Amino acid sequence: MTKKANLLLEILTEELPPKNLTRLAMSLKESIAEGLKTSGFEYELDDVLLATPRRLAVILNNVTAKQPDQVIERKGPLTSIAFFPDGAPKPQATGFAKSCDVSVEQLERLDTPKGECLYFKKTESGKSIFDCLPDIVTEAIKKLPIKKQMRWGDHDITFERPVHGIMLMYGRKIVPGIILEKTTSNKTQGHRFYNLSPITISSPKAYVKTLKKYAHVFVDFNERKNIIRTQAIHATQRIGSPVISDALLDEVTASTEWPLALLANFSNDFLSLPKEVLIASMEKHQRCFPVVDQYNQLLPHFITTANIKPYRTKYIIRGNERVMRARLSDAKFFYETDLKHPLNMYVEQLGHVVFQKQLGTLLNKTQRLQKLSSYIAKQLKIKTTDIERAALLSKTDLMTSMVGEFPELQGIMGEYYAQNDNEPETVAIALKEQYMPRFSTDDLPKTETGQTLAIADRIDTLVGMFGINQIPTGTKDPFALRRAAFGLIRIMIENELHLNLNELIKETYNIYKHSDHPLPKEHLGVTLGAFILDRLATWSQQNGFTLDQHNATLGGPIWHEDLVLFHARLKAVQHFATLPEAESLAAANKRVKNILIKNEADILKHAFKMDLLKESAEIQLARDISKKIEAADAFEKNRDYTGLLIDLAKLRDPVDRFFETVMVMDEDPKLQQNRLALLVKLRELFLKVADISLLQIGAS
Amino acid sequence: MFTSKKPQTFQDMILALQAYWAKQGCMITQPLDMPVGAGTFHPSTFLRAIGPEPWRTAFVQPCRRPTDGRYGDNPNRTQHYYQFQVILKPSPEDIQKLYLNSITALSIDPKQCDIRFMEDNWESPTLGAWGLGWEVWLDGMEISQFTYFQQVGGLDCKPVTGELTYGLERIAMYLQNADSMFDILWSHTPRVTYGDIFKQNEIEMSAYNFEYADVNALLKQFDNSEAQCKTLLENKLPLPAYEMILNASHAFNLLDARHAISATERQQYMLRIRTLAKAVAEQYYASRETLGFPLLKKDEA
Repeated sequence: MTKKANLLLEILTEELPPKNLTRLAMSLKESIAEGLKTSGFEYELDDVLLATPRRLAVILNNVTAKQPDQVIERKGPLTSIAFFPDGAPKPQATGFAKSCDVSVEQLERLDTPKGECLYFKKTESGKSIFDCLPDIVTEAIKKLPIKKQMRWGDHDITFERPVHGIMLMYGRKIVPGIILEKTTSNKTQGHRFYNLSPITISSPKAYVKTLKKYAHVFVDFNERKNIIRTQAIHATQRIGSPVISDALLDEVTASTEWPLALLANFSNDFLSLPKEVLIASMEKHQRCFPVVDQYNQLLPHFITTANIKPYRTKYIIRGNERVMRARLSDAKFFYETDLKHPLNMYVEQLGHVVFQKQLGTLLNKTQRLQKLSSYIAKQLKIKTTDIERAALLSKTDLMTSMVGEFPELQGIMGEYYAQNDNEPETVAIALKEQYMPRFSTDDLPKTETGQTLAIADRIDTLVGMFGINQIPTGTKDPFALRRAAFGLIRIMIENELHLNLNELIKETYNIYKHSDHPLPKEHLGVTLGAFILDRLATWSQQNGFTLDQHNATLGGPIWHEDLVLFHARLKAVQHFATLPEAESLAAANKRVKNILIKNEADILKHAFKMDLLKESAEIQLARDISKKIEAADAFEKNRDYTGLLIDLAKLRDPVDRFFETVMVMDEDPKLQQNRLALLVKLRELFLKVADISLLQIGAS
Repeated sequence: MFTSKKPQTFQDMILALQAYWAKQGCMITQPLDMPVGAGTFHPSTFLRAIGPEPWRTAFVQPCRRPTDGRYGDNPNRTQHYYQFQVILKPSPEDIQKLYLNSITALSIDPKQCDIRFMEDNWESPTLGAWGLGWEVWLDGMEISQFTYFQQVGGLDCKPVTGELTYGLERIAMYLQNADSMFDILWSHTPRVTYGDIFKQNEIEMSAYNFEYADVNALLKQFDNSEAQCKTLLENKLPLPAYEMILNASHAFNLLDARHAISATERQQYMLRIRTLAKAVAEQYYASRETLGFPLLKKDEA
């Protein structure tokens, strides 16, 4: 039995950026586990996350104390040639001994089929965890996903924030080493304000408990998160409940070590502000949780989370209330100022704000959106009057004070202000809905006007940016074009909007062409098409389709002519894949495809002739195919691709029999050509929906 | 652990901070005699952050941000206010502790209130400068900015300068439990408030900034300052060249308040200042190098 013990690493730092904290902690744990594994150590991995604003920690349980021993074996020269007759070693023997770092006498002998030879064997004992761990940790630190590396003082090292200590222990022992210029120890610091002298940790097992009991630190991230949630619920239980977004709760958890959630109030007067404004002020500016009543209406309260437990909480509450009052007063001032000016007053000012240098101002964009959304409306057969008005006003709320202060309220403020201006309700809603979905799982625009404007806004940005070669690379996507393309796909498919994407791109390109900002790049359709297609693959997979189903569907009719039909065919393929006939027909399609690839040139022109069919299996298949071709029209007209594939599944037996009994490549070229022509028809039938040959059924 | 007497007035608070930082080995220096938007523009910050020479100083800097004027109507926002600036180069290992001790020196007890370091990364596009650090929150209110400079004038900071900037009015409002900065007591005898000194100034200066500042004269001032900055650089005079940047920068801020610059032009103006700032930074570095980085030797001695 190898000895095992628990391992503890803690990097003590200055306050780390909260939004990246869990990612850093997880990466550190994974990289150390990975490093241990590569070096031949065993361990147990759990999902405990140890991270606070001032420390990243990792505990791995039952880590083996040393690498496994390695047996090293070497065969040397045959003894018959390695020694002089008197038994003295020849150079072959001494050379071999030397290369093994022993004397000839120390070498063993081994019988082999060729005869007895010199033999060396030694067991190299594995290195101890104490020798390996510092390097493993150093390597893991190098791999951390640090957003912005920083330097401090006169040091040459970098980290996310300055480092103050490295605790590295194996069992009860310190693992000696120097990491990030710090000598490893078994000491750390507790809470910044409670514990001024260092805390000694006796063993990894004691770490979490010691910090909790003696150092005012809940180091377990999820424990701390639950504490805050429970405290927030408890603090509001008499009046309602806190609105806790997981992202904000994570952020608050990541900025406290010893949390205390407190209930505070603001004046009722502020409840006249739009709720989104109140929520943004509380959540974004002050990292506080809003409070609602049982009907989900905002109450004049909020939860602030302190990182300390004072004798009296009233001073902290009062301080936070004062700041909140100042924030909300500002917001109220902005709102009341904005309400005095109708949105259409801002249209002209949009000409002073650059959208993108080469694509003009927001006014230029507005003018393009007007043309583009009426084009889309016509394609979708929707009335265009409200749409043109919505497009004209679409960017005006960006000029208001409130959106200047809270950029994330774009569109939302537009809706409030448009209502205040007595714009048609459809226009007001469209101003909000144009930005939806704002993130990948967000709600979609529900109104036709909103959907039209949302599509126009995204396609204008995509075509414009690709046209000036601002194409996302790697992780760099400053204009969020991936999100725009993904949103576009979702709006079209999930709202069942039949639009020809290729035509839409062309139209957008033409609108640019006849504006002050013609696009220099001619062939953007190809790159943009490929870009959108990438996002479509993501969409398919997120919606429960496999990549081979997606690819098979792409092999059917052109995807970008109508994404809704693409989706219908994708669903048909998914269903087809569950049928018992699928495997055999997928294989048959693959076979047909391969035969046809080799013989393509001649046959495509010809229809097969019944009188040239000889074998019963081919006659039967030809009859069946003819029937299916007739039936396919009705299915296609009804866009019932699932029905069509179910019908085609019935071809399995005749197809199987055909391949079992008929020789396609007959000596008689006439027969051969005719059989190939028959297979062309078979394949064309399936291709009405998808390229079934790409399905992987039973393969995995 | 905290025994300090609570500063009763604005001036007591400044005196307490000066006394504290003097004890920590900082020179107490004086404000720059030119309009600046922040203590960062003081040569004692911007220029001294460049190159290898050590520098430790603390000073009060009056700041002007014309667009923040509210004619004295807003209790929290003014176009003129004070920063207390501390520059520690290289940033010491215990810089956070030093800062926190300065807060306790103002009689603020960190065990009874909520002091937090909230991520805030600073960037000044016009100075070609950026740094990483925090805003410091006191019961939810931002009272300081804490920055480790990474680059200044486009040059990497080596060593890194630590910049601590206190919002003096905010801390005073906290200490004096005042709801408006105009109610802050400046001194006991005579009993004078912040409003007594600055209310009229806010009203008149807001009118100037927003209504009366001569746009054409300011545009000329910007161009002239830029031209002279270039001439001075040609003659290897980075210090006066830097003052020209400050002139141009203030003209730009006033033009901004007059809404005389469109968003597109804004970028261009900022880029022009940035170009000058980078050139000055490089030349300042070269001039110190020619002098043999005198403060470095002094430090060794």
